[in-house]
Amino acid sequence: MKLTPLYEWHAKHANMGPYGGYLTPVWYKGITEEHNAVRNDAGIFDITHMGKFWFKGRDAKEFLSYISVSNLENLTEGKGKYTVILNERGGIMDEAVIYKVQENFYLMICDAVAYEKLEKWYHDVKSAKFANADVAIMNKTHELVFIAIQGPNAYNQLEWLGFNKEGVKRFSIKPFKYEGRDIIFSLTGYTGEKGFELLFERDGKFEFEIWQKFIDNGVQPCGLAARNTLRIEAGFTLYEDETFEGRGEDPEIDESTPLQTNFEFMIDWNKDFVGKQALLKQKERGIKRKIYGIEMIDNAVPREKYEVCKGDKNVGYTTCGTLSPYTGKKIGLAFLEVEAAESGEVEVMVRNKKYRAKIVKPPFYTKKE
Amino acid sequence: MASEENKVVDGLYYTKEHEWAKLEGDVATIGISDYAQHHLGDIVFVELPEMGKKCNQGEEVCVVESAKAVASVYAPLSGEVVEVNESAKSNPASINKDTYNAWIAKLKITNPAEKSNLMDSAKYREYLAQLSVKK
Repeated sequence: MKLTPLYEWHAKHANMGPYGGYLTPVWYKGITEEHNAVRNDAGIFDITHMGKFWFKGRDAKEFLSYISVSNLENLTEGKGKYTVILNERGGIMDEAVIYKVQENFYLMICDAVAYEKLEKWYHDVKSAKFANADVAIMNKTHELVFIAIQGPNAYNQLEWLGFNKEGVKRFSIKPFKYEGRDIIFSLTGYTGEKGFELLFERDGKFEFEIWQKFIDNGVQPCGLAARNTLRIEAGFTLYEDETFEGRGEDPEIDESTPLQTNFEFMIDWNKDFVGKQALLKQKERGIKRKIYGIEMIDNAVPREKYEVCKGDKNVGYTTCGTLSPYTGKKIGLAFLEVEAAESGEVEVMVRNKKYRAKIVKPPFYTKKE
Repeated sequence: MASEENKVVDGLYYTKEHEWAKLEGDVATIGISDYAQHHLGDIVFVELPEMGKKCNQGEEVCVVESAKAVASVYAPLSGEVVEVNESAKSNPASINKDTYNAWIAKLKITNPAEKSNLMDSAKYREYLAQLSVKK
């Protein structure tokens, strides 16, 4: 089991559990309390398990443009793009954010579960298509610490950090120095709240100091369980739940493509990229299954991989679900046949019984201001 | 959490799956142990068994759901459900707060001899100690 640099702190304070090959904090005080701290105040997450790559060289942009669906042409220094990496069948290998750090230097953040697979894939694509190109692929996952501070009061912490976020837009980064150390500030998150993420070199000491400083300043440490319930409430997808690669037998069921996950907005159809031909074909055939938000009408909690029916017919399955800690609603995401979902109501099979659910468009919560 | 004590109440019987049972005549009141509620975390949903449901020792009676996962509650003894605790259903967090009072169901037991498959409080404490060593 892999450990993040902050493992020792977590082991003392959290219930630990596995995720993505790492032993990670699942919760500290309790999922509900941590979840609501992020909705109402501020929480901190260790997300160092996430994959981190540098791409350097004159052809880095061209390479990234080929392996992702997004248009990176107009990306200015410090700007990032939320994107997906596809296989040749159009299936999503991972969701990622690509940032332009400087000219010929890009940063990619991706999922913990996927980065080893992606590293191999990038080298395969490079050998096949970019053999003579000037692009160095560097896996920095274990060298960089990554923490997220999220919640309506998250920005209060910027004062002691000495960082002025003015001019930094969402999905953008800006380097700064704190106590002489280089830190990359990123205006991103995975909770639906305001907040930011910090990326810096692993040191053995500094990461504990800065983590503790947030906590001493009243930020609630939050585990990955709250991270998951927060992202479900916000309606965000997660690799392996909603976005995944399939076996390729029946692309409508086994493969999750950006056309099925409401990611068409990411796609630059004017460029060439891995998976483009498959997506064009799928577009022509029409989309049969897509990801939808569901909210239970009847009293049962949806969880991942529950069967979903319309009448006597199986029309898909849930990809995630929970009792929403902020709203008390029973919510989830589901991979459903379009026709059934468009009818507005389906039934979720929970322990061999059918419970009605309505189709809703996430996010599943509105802030009580 | 490692630092928290797992409360064990004398006079109750316990299963390896961390249910407790209180035996009074031929009725067993059942719930989940403090260790179980610690490990599940915030309990958000209790699905009570149907009245009259019959189950054998070790079979699933009902489920409790934490914010994160679904957990089965197994019958500590064979029997028939004769009473359910609606207040555990309407207030699932009561299981986190005071699990030995937040019972889930009462079973009319059919085979009192099965008691020998359960642990008393002393044995259960030992069992928990072994679990924490293995961890």
